[in-house]
Amino acid sequence: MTPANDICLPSNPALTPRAGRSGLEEAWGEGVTGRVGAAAFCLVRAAEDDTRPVLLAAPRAWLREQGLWLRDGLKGLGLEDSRLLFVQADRDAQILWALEEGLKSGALAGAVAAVDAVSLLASRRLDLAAREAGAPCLLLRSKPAQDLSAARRRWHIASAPSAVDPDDARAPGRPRLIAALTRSRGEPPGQWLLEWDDEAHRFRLAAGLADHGLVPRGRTVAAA
Amino acid sequence: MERGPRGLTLSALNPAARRLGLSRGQAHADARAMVPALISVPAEPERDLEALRSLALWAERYSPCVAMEPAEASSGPSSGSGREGLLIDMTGGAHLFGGETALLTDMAGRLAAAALPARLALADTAGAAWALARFGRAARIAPAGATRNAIAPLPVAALRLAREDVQLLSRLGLRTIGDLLALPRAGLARRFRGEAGLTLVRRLDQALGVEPEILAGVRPAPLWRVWRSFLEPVIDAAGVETVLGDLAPSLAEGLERDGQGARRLALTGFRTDGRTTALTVALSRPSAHPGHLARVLKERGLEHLDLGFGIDALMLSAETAEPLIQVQGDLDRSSQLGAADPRLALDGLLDRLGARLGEGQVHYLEGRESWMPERAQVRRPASEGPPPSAPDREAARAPGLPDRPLMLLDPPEAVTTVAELPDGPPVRFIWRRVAHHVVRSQGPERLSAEWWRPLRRGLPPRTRDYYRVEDGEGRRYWLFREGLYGREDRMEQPPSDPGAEPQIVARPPTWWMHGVFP
Repeated sequence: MTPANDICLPSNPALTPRAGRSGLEEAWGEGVTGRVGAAAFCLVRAAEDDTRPVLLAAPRAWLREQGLWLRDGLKGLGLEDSRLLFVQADRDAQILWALEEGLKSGALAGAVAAVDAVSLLASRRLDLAAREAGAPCLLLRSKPAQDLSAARRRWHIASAPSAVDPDDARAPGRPRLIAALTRSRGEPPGQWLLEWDDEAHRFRLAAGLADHGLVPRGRTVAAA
Repeated sequence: MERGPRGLTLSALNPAARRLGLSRGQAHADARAMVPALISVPAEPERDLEALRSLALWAERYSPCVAMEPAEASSGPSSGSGREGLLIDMTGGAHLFGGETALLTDMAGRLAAAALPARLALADTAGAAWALARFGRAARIAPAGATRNAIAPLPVAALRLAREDVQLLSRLGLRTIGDLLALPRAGLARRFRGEAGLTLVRRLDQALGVEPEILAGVRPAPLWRVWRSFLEPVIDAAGVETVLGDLAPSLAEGLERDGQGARRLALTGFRTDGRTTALTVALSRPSAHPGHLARVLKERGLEHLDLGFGIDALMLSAETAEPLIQVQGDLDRSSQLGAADPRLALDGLLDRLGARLGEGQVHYLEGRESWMPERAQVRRPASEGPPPSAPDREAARAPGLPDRPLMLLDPPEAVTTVAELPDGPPVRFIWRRVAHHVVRSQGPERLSAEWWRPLRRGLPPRTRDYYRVEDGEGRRYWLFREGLYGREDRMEQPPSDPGAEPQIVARPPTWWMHGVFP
C-alpha cells in the first residue's frame, strides 16, 4: 500500500496540502463515541505537518460528560506532551476569545475547541484569524449546526467497524472513521472511509475490500 | 469599652466624651455615673487592626516602607491593647511631595477628606516621631539633626515606657525627657531594677538615633515601582488605562536598566477614602517590554479594580523579578506573524490567556509514575513551560494500534456485563442505558492494584483487567473488570461480636466503563 492510497483525490479535502486547509471548519459526531471520533479527526488535522503546539479548548461541562483527555491516548495519535496546550473555561465566549488570540499570535499550528453556540460574527472572525495565520481552526459541535456559519467545511464523523487485525482475528484492528463532508465552499460533498495509519500519524483513505495492511498478503500466493 | 483586669473600662473616646471629662482607662461604671447618656460599644481589636492594616496599605503611596507600630510600644495612659499608629519611612522621599511641610499638609488633607482624625509628625528617628505625634504641641516637624532639642520638652511618657516606670519617674521628679537627658546614663541604668533601667536607656537611645530601630514593613517593599498621582481622582477604567500607558514604559525602563524582567506585576490604586485596590498578574517569562506588560494587565481586566469614589494615585510595581537573559522581541500582537520568534509569541500568548482566564486554566499534561490510567498524568501550568520530554517508557508496549483511549471517564461508570468466567471478554453490556453487542475484543490487560495507596472505604484494592471492545457499529470502548474471579472475589468482614471468627462474604468483581476510543 502504497502510494495508490495516497492519491490526492481532487475533491478530497482531507488530503490536500496544508495551505489549502487553513480556515474555520466544523465537525460533529453523534453520541460519546462519535464526538471522540470527531475530536481525533480534528486534532490530527490541526497538528499535521507542523511542529508548533495545538490549542485544545473545552468547557468543563463538556469534559464532564465526555471524559478527560488522556495523555497516553493523545500520544497514540502522535501528539506529544509539548504539542498540546489545554485551555479550560466556563463560558463559550471565553473559549472563542482564546481561539482568536491563539490564532492571531501566530504561535500555534492549529486550534480545536468544543463550543456549541457560535454566532455568525464570531465564526467570521475566527475564519479570518485562521486564514491570516495559515492555520486550521476546528470546532467540535455536539449536534449538527443548523445556523449560519462562516465555516468553510462541515463534517459529520461516525465510527466504522475497524480493519481486521492481521495478528488476531478477534481483536479490533486499525480504527476507521467515516468522514462525510456535508457542506463546503467550492467542493462537492462526499463521504470517505478513513483508516488510522500509525506510522505517519494520519488518517488515510481506507483501501477497498481486498487490502489487509501494509504488505499485501494474498498477492504472492495468487501470483504463484 | 473593653473588659480588663478591673472590669469594664473605656478604651476609646470621641471628642465629645473627652470634653465631658472622661478619660481612657476609666471604669465604665464611673463613666456612666458621670454621664448617664453615654453610648458605649464593645471594643473589637481585630477589626481595628484590620482597619489599621488597610490604612497602612494606603499609606504606601508615600513610601514603600510602612510599618504598624510594634505592640509593646503602646503605653502611656492607655490600657495597653490597641496599636494605633503607623510609622512611615520617608528617607529621601520628602522632596517628591514638595518638602516636609507640604508632605504633612498633603497627608493631613487626605486623611481629613477620608474622615480619619490623625496626628502627624516627622522626625529623624521613629522614636522621636512617635513622641512628637502624640505629645508634641506646636512643632510637629523636628528639624534634621535637632532631635534632642525637639523632644526635650516632651513628657517622659513619650518614650514608650511602661506605666509603672512613668509613675516612678514622676515620683522621682523627672517629668520631661530633658530632665532625663541631663542625668548620666550609667546612673539611670543602675537606678532602676531589672529590665526597666535598660529599657529606659534603650528608648532614649532610639529616640536620639544612637541605636537603630528596625521597622518591619506591612508588606515586603518591591524594588521597582513607579507611581503617579492625579489632581482630580480617576473614576473609571478608561482613565486607569491611559495612566497605565505612561507607567508601563517607566517601569520597563527601570527594570531594563538593572537587567531584570518582571515575573509578577501589581497595579495598585490608592483611593480617596483611605483604602487601596490592587490587581496582580504573573508572567511566564521575565519581561521588560512595556507593550507586553500593559497588555497583560489589560487582559487581566482593569475593570476588576474597585475604584470606589475615585483613586488619586496609581502605582505599578514589579513584585518579583528575574534576570533578563535575552532581548525581547515584539511580544505584542500579530503585526509580524512570521517574523516574530515563535517561542516569544507563544509566551506572550500564554501570558495573555493566563491573565484573562486564570492561571490554572491553561496547562499542559505531564506524565506521572503510575500505571493506573487515571493517575498517570498531571496538569502542568503553562507558565512553567512545556513538559520535558521524558525517555519513552511507553515504547516498550506494542507499537502500532492505539492501546489507550483518547478520553477517560472520570470516575469510571458502572456497566452491566455478560462475560465468560473467569476472565473472558464481555459479550454484551449495557452502558448509559444503551445495550451494546460486542463483535470484537482484545484483552485482558492486567493492571494490578497499587497496594501502597490508602484503602478506599476500608476495602483492599483489586486487580483490573482491561478489555478493548468494539460493537457492531464500530464503536470502540475500554472496559475493565475490577477483581479476579477465584482470587479477589471474597473478603473478610470483622465479626459483630468480638471473640467470634471473622466472616467471609462474597465480593463479586464489578465491571466499569473507563474510556472511549476514536
